[in-house]
Amino acid sequence: MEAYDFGLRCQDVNSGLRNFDATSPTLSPLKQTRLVGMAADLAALVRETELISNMSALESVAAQELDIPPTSFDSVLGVLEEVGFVELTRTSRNQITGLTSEVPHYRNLYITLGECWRNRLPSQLEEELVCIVNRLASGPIPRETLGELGVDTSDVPRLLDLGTRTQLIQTVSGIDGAILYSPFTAFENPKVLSDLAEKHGNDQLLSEFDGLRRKQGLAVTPDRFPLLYDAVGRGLLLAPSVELPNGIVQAFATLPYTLDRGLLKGEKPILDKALAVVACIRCGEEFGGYSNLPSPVFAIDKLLREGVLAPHSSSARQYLLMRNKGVVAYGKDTMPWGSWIVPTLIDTADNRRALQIARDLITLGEPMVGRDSQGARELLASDARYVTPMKTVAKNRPRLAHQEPEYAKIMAAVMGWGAL
Amino acid sequence: MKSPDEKGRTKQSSRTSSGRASYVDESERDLPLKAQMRRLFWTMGCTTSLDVKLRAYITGEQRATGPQEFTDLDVLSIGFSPSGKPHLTLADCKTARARAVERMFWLRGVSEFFVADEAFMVRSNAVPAAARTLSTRLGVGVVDPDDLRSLAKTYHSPVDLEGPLRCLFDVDSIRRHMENMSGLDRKLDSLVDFVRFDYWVYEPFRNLTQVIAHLAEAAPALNPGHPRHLGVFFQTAWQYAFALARATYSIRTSRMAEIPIAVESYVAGGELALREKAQLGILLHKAGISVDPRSGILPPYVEQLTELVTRVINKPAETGEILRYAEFLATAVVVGESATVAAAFGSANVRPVAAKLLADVCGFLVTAAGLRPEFRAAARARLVADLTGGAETGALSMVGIAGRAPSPLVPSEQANPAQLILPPSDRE
Repeated sequence: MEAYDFGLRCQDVNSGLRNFDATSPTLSPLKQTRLVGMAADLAALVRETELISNMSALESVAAQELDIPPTSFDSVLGVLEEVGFVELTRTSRNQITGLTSEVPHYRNLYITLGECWRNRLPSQLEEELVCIVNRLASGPIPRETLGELGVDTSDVPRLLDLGTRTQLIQTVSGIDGAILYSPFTAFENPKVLSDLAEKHGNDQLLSEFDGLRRKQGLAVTPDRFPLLYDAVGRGLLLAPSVELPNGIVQAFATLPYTLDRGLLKGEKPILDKALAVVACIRCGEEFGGYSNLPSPVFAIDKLLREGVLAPHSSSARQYLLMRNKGVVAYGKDTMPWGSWIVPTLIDTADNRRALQIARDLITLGEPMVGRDSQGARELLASDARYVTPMKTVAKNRPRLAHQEPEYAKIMAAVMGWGAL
Repeated sequence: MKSPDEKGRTKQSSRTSSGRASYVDESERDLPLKAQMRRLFWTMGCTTSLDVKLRAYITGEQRATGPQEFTDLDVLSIGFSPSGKPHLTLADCKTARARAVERMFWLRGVSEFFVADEAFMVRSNAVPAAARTLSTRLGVGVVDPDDLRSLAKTYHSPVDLEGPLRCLFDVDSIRRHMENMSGLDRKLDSLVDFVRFDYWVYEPFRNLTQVIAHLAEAAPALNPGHPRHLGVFFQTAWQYAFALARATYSIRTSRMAEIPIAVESYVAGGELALREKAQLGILLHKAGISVDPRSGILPPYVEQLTELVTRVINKPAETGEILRYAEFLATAVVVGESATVAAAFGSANVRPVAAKLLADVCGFLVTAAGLRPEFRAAARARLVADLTGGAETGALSMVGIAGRAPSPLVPSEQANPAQLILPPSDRE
């Protein structure tokens, strides 16, 4: 695991524990992880607000919306100050009176927080739990494979006890043993998992879910992905279908992993739309008819930016599911003699959100909604106009920060950013 | 401004360009007029710069290789359109009576050269009727003392210009600020020359890196405890904020949806230049010079710069105030005016977000140029300390700023989140 994963999963762990009694001694082994997770939530909250002078109000919002206990509030601020995400104003008696926000928009929040978490020397149990949570984000795993993740076998009972009591780990039991999965995974019917493991074997389970995680909107066929094909048939996985040029209806499997529980319940129609977008775009990428889509992300960006896609002879077939879900309408061909349809975005907030989720699923493997404290930010009456999703460039690994010193001056002069 | 008929004085001025001697004597007579125009522009909501000098580095002449001054602009005023486009206005302020008509033609040329949107010929005495006739045709405004008085009556500044801001319009204070660039440590010569001359003739994209490069060269000699050095620092902050304003306008109108890419492209000088540099990086790598083909072609602080640009671009309504605050601080620290920005601009008019963004600009300069961190602390003390409740200096309390700080009698759990920070005027 890298620093990015540590930071990201600290937020997941904290998110899973939000509804848990904060004073429970069960949580004491997870102190550092929760602190860093809360820091990620608070960073998202204050990012768009340049300066804050009413700290008691911020504390109230943090408690009400992010479940950050007032007793931990100063510690969480301390973490953000330590990593340079906020600058605190203090009185001579060291009382915090306000802050200015330095939370980055593009530099990676989670890498910085992940490094911070490691520097705080988390307990072995925390490291192991974060490692398991990270693995479960990729899909379900058999219990017996925990040792392969580097988890000390003697810690497994305690970890599973802690994980299941705090509901960070879900299990289904079968004849061949328990299958572990994440509560943030959008399984329709998790009980089927054990049947699938029994029928196809654990290795197949691991490899096919790994493939799905790597490519959301995977075109599943019985010969290439028998377990996933079976999982779709049994209703475990969400898999919208699109008709191919040869008339066959192809399922495109997805496994959303999201902290936004509302997306899995009350706002499920938005997730359905997002999955429809993924299916249609993947169809265009692999089964475009006359020509394939060169880049699925460009197509989504174009829809978000310009509201239309360039038409072609297969547009009506390819985007039918998006039209049926109310994401696009079929516009008339711009050529007077033409008969192609022009996929045109029905510009609503829900549709834009669905497109963004689809974009995250395709580029990052998981939607980022639920990580940016959106609801709480609105409470802050932020004056932001342009809100960049915190993680749209999340996988941008840090670039080489320093060049070899002996060449630094040469390079500055050559590239024109040294003094002229 | 100097025109060709003032050639002798121009030559004399260029000899003293390194900052070793006072350069303000020749424009001494015109200073009150410049102060009045600066005040007028401030009441219009603009930021200003006085005695902007334009020069170029001349090569190829046996005896004259080196910098040569073309001319200078008496007062440069900068405002911003709603889309953030800088609106530049020049004012040529003279007490001399002669050659008014010729000056108008000359001023037309200068404003073309500087790509100014407007130009005014300002005189301390009556101007010939022919000049007024030419005014519309040449697009150069004519302002005599009566015009100036009448103009001043039509604009009303919501900000009190007679309080701490008075230092911007007081002739003695202006003179002291101008002289601040003279007689400094020789180690600061390169920075001073850049601030006074080169900044104004470089292509705008270069200034995002050149300000930092010159500050970095001067870093060992810059002392944050020295008010004159602090004045130089805030002057560079003003210039950097203006360079940022130009960059954000370019990005807003060309590639708003992809700010990181747009910043890299702008800093490099355009898409083509970026590709050229990438190719150059590959060639250097092949030649044995270790260079990362992606990060090595851009300055090492480009990611922080992207963050800064994003913050500024997200708040288009604040750009003008950021510059005005920097302009105030650059003079205030030199003349001993100790008010914070919140105190100087008043509780009803200060824009906390603009103050914070200028603090971000200062912080970025300190980090990117390797300046002593006390510069950052000094900027924050003047800009955001009292706006975030640190009003122990007595400059301004938070109650005065937002008008709705929580009463100490109200339990914190009753605090209304919507009251958190900003006055409604800051919402866009």
